[in-house]
Amino acid sequence: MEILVGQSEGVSTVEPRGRIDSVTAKEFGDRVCALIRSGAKRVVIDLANIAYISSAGFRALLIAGKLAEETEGKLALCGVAGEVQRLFEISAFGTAFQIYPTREECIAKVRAA
Amino acid sequence: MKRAELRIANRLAELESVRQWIERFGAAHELPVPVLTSLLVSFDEVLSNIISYGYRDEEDHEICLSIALQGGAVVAEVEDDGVPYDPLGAPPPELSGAISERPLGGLGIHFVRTLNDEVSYERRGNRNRLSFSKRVPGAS
Repeated sequence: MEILVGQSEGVSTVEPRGRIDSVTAKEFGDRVCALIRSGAKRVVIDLANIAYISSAGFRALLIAGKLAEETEGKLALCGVAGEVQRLFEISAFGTAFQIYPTREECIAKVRAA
Repeated sequence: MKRAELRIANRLAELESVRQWIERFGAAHELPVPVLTSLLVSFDEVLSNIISYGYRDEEDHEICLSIALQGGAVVAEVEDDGVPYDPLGAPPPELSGAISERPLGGLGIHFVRTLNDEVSYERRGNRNRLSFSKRVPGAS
């Protein structure tokens, strides 16, 4: 899976591309958790280039979110729209994560946290 | 051809082929994005459950899949010879609470139930058969 990882003034940005499903969720989750374990305290996951996410993907996000909490880091999401948004609504995971409407706002909020 | 069939082995590595098979069917029949997404997520949930939990041995097993357009709906079927398992009997997942309060399971079947208009399960002999269907807006 293509996963772009970047840095924006102290905030790590993770941008997976394609889909987060049973085929790709492990790679995605491992990447985010490795980032957190290597010391990234402020992480933004941008889902704008994801077509859909299945429960395997939500599980990976949940594990990353719990790891961020355990390490007293901050993790937030952006780029949740269209079908991905619909799936978040069905899963009711919108209430488990901080989700921001734009990447800029997400990065700014995570940086300030 | 308004019906497609696929047989796969009980290995997670097969799921990429399944995804491409669904995308091809969707393109051939110009399925709307929400219907295609529903198929992609539903098959992912159902098949990963079967492959991960459906067998007590280490043997290869065949899983039979089909997608068909009929009566203005897309109807999918998955048939396997794994242990008897009715996914519709599973309890609903915990859908509230902060991250630390959410358990990690239960979401897959919830998606299958919610994304589709009808889901049904039947045990026939030594086979599980799960069927799920979704109306296609504008189709007849």
